[in-house]
Amino acid sequence: MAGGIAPGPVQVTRLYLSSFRNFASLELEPGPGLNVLYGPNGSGKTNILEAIYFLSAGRSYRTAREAELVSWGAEGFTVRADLRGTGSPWLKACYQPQRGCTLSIPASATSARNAAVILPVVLFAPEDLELAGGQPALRRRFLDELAGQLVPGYHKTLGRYGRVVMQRNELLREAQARHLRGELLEAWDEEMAQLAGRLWSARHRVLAGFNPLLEKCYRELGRGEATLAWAPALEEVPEGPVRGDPGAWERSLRTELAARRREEVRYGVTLAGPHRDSLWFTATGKEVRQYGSRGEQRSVALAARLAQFLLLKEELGFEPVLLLDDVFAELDEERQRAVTGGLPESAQAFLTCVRPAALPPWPGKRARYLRVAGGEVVAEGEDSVPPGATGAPGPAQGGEGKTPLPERAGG
Amino acid sequence: MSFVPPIARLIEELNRLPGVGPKTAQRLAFFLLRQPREEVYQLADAIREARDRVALCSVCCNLTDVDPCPICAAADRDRGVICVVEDPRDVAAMERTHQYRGLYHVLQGAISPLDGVGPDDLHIGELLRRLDGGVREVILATNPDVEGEATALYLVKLLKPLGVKVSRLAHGLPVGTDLEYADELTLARALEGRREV
Repeated sequence: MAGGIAPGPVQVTRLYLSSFRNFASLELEPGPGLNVLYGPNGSGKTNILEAIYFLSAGRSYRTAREAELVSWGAEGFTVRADLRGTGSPWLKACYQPQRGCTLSIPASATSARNAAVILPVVLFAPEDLELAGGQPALRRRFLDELAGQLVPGYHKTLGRYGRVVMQRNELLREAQARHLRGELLEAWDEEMAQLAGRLWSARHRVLAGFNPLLEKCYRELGRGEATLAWAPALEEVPEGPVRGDPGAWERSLRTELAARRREEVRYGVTLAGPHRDSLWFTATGKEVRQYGSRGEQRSVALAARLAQFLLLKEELGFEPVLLLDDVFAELDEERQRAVTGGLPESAQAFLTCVRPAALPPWPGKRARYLRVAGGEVVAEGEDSVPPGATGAPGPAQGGEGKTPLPERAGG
Repeated sequence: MSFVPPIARLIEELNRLPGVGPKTAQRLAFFLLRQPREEVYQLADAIREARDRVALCSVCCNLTDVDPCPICAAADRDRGVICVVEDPRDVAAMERTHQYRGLYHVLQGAISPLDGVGPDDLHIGELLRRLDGGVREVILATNPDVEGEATALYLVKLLKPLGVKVSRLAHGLPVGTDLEYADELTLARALEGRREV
């Protein structure tokens, strides 16, 4: 993709936050390897991960309302990252209540105008447990996130598609009350079918790449085979090689919409289309959501994130940034090893935890320890034994008068 | 915060303007109150005059103070081509390219069921009536957003059976950007690269 750039991991070399969550102003210089953000609960560790995620995705994974991300008393927020190893030297997100959110890159950037491709991230979060066990919408969001990282323009198409469905539903409700000209409904059908065709063919291509890696990752966890199964909300699903062709999907949907017009008017809602696709994980032949144990759901979600990482690496030609939100606390030793072993040393990672001393060993990973407290972040040392580890004086205790982190019971 | 009624009313009126929030409305109101009386009257007169003297052109539905508008009345423009836009500001944007010598038709909006705007709320009937006399081509230059696209698709369905050549502005335009903000060069290129639909 980005021409003339040596493949290597994409890295955040500097991160600026302004009026974002509990950070009035923050400038952070992460290391190229593992960055351990530690501090007591509520100190804002996760907010830093959220900021990086926001730059990549243009939205938060914790809230749909950007206003919630603005510091108390401020108007809007700004997040900016200086980058290495990717098509743009920096990426900036600004939010103002009047103008909404804008992502920007310098005019000199060589890469596609797609933040998810400039700064691809893979997020492991406690919420992932719901990926396998929760509602289908969560799995659609997972697939959309992945497709947005791999297919240029996917997010834009998805946004337009959502708007078209809203407009079309309104029109179908109007049609319940009065006769509407056929051409009017057809115009919306056509636009919807064009966008749907692009989304479906992209989902097909992404899943074709994703599922073999998911199977591999799940097997390495010692669990057998797993897949992310997909049933498009379309009666005549294109079969064979034409599945990669948006036109095949588009024609099928157009036919179906015309045939189901009366039914759609009766319900006042769009009955076919990518927004109604079913997605479910299967593991060793059974559906995980209904029949899987909590442990299996956890393993499948973990394997899905590892597979996301591998697929991005394969397709983009460089390693995405890892965001690990308090993941190890939730995992047993075996699964902890799957994460530290499954992710290569060279990727940049941001990890939050309460007690760095409790982290599992991460072989070969250079670590930088960053203590988060009171809306500030203090670099506590690099390549050191985690601060607060018993009997091992890290630089935190190295005569600068800084007290080690008081250990707190989690919760 | 409470102000004496005349100030409160001024703030309220300013607040109704697009893009003006309560804080800005207050700032504008107090700015106006500090200005010399004549300057404020000039502004009030300008608003009143514009509102009174500007009406829709009976041909192209653009805003004008003479009817037909200067573009429709110009002798040196190609009457065989009509460029359909949503908004008078789009006409200004197209004119800045100096590439286009045909006529315009301003719909004064785009189809949007969520905003209660249907085809009958736009000046589509006027457009169809213009097609009798020697129009060779209609260029659809509605915005590249979802509503502009649906409007264009709808117009294609109405215009195609009439046997007139219909083309759509090529999307050299950054998708999601309003035409108004597109720079002249991009717009000129989009005009050259228009495709028949």
